[in-house]
Amino acid sequence: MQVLTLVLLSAVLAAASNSFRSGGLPWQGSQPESHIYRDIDWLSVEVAGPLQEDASTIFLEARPIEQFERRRVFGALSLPADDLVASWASIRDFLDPSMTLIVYADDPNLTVRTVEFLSARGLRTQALGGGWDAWTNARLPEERGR
Amino acid sequence: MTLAPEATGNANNVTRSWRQRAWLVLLFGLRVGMAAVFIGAAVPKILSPDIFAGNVFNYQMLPAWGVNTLAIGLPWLEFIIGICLLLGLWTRANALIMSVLMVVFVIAFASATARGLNISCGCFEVGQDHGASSLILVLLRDFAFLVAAVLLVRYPNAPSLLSFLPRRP
Repeated sequence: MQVLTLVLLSAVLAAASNSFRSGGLPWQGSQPESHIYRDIDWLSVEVAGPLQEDASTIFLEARPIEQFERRRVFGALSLPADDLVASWASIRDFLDPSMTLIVYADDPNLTVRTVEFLSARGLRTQALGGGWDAWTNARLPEERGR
Repeated sequence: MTLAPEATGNANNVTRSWRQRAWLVLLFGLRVGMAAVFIGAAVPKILSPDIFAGNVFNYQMLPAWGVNTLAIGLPWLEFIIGICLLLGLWTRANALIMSVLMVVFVIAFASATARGLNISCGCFEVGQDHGASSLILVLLRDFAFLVAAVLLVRYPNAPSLLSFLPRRP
C-alpha cells in the first residue's frame, strides 16, 4: 500500500510539474533522439515520407548490409555505418552536393555517425527521426531482397 | 546482526554497546547515502526531462509512447523516495522500490551493452556528453546500491534525520 502511494504521489507530482513547466514534454513524444543529438537535422517520418518520391532526395541506410538486403526504404542505397570508408567508396559516384541525403538506421548512434561522416564531405544530410521502425510503422513504401 | 526494536528507533539511547552504536551509524550512513544518491540522480533529470528522454530512448527497450512517460515520471519517483528515506518515512517501502529499481537498471544497462549499444547510462547525468558508461563500473556500483537498499529493507528502523529531533517531554 505504501509502495503504491509513493508511486501515485510521484506520478501526480510528475504530471503537475510537466504541466506547469514552459514547454513541457509531450507524454507520447516522438524523436527523442533529437534532444540528445542536437547538431543533427532530424526529420520526422511525416516530413520524410513524401520526400521518398523526390528525385533530388536519396535515402541512405546505415544498417548492416544484411539488414538492407532483407528490407529497406524503397529506392534507398546502402551505406553501412560499421565500415563507412569502404561503403562510401562504392556509392560516392551516385551522389552530388545538390542532393539531399536522408540517413536512417535502427540505432541512432549509427545514424549520427553516418550523418557526420557525410556532412564532413560537404553533403547536405539529414536524419530520419525514429529510424527504420518509424518508417515501417508508418507503412511507407519499402522493398525487399537484393 | 539483529537489533531489538527499541535499540533502533532512538538515536539518544546511551545504553547501547559500541557495536550497536557502530551498526546504527552504519545504517544511518546507508540511509543518508542512498537518499543522496537518489535525490542527486533525480534532480538533473527533473530539470531536463527532454534530454533524459533521449537517454531513455537510447536503451531501445521501450515503445515510443513509453519513452517520455518514463522520462517524466521516473525522476520524481527517485526524488520522492530519496526525500522520504532521508526523513525516515516509510523506509521499508522506499527501500523496496529502490531495490527493484536497481535490479531494473542493471538489467536494462546490461541488455543495452549486450546489444552493442554504446550509450551513457543516464544514471546521474543526462545527455551523451559524458560518453559511454562502463558496464563493469555500472554493475559494481548498482550492486553496491542494491545491497544498501536491501539492508534498509531488512532494517527499516535505522536512524533518520527525524530521529535527531528533540523529543517531547
